[in-house]
Amino acid sequence: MLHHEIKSLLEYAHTHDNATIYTIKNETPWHEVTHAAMIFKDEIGSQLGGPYGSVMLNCLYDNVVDGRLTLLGSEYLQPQSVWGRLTLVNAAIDDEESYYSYMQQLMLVPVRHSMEGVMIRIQPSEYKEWIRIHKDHVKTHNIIQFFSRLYNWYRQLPWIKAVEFVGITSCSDDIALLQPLVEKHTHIIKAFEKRLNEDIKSCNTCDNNAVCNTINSLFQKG
Amino acid sequence: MENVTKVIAFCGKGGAGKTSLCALAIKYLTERKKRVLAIDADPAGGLSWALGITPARTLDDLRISLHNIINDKELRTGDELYELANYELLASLVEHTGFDFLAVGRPESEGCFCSINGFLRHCVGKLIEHYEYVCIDGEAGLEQVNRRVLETVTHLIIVSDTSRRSIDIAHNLLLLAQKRTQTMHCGIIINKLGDSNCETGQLPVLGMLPVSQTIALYDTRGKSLLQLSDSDEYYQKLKEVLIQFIQ
Repeated sequence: MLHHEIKSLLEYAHTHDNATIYTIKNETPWHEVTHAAMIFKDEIGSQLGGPYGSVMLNCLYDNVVDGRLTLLGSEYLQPQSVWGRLTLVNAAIDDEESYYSYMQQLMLVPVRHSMEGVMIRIQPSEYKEWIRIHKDHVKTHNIIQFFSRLYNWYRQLPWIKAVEFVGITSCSDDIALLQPLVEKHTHIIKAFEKRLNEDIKSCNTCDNNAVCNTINSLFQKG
Repeated sequence: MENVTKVIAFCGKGGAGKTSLCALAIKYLTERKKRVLAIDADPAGGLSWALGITPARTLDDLRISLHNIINDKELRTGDELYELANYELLASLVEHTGFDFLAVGRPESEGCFCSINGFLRHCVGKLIEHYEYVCIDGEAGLEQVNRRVLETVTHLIIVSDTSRRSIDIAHNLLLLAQKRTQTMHCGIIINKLGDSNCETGQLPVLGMLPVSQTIALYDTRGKSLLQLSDSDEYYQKLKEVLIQFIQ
């Protein structure tokens, strides 16, 4: 889905002055723990995103380069950074009825597991992610290890064939690049829901007709 | 994991001084480097004043926001609702130096929100587990005890002035609390003690505190009680009570 937009974003990101491309498959992932941390204000070493400036979006995509991270911004953890994360997933999904369930699994991955000294909160309806990293872990860890751990978690889902990330810690202008994707993704989700839950008598007069046509054509292609 | 959080609630007749005592208890605990969550459960928002805090959002704002999101069908599963609430709860905290603050707010919306309230109570309950101490400044008290808002309380401090009515209310609150649970520690602080004697009968009195002109002055000027001198006589006496009761 959103193939054209994602392709454009990746092209832009790869030629960005501030971009570095990593292969995170071979990186040592951030240490995993069983209990989620609560990180208080006086314990924060780094804060990524928050209520007023973050975007986190998961999309299905055909041309995923497995284990690739395109990072706009520093790999080192700053005291406070904007936060944007686009996760591209190549997945074996057979039917559109399950689409939302799969997307929800993707959404919940970072809060169903835990990293040592990391607190993650998500706002699902607004595609936001808020990350706090404990001050004891800031100097010994970097954002590559964070993505490496995420990569491992996503790859544990049996229906996922490949995962790629775009991470943004640079500036709010770069975060804004993700906004059109979010808006279109929201539109698609709503259209899916309408198709599944409502008895639409005439598709021709439906507000979501164009989106549904796109969905139909994508599934017809397989 | 064993829950070791001590949840201290202050209740009693309006004007008895529970908000000031709650604020000073927070001052005492933060000075001892304890991890504290302050909850202003009084719709009038007195604790935020006493601590010099202006909360941007209250729990009631969050309740309305959740209601709207659910109404707009922007969430589809319970998992998403739970994560949303956790996110918004963190965003609603005022993270002050040494403690976090959460205001319950004033429920102004019409209609029944029982299920959302129950859900939020669960989320706040999970949040509380991360703190060593939680200090709750309650409403006058009787209604809250009846509504089981205080069900997580481990220590109940009933504040009374020396008036007969206030002491009667304290007595009723104590009976209600003891009826609800045998495990909650309950005690009464007689506040604003003047020259005359105060008849308390068999009530479990934790201490008697004098009238404090300094606190009255802070109140008049809208000054945060966190700035009260450590050597203040009233504060010193309260600390002695707290050391005995909550250690």
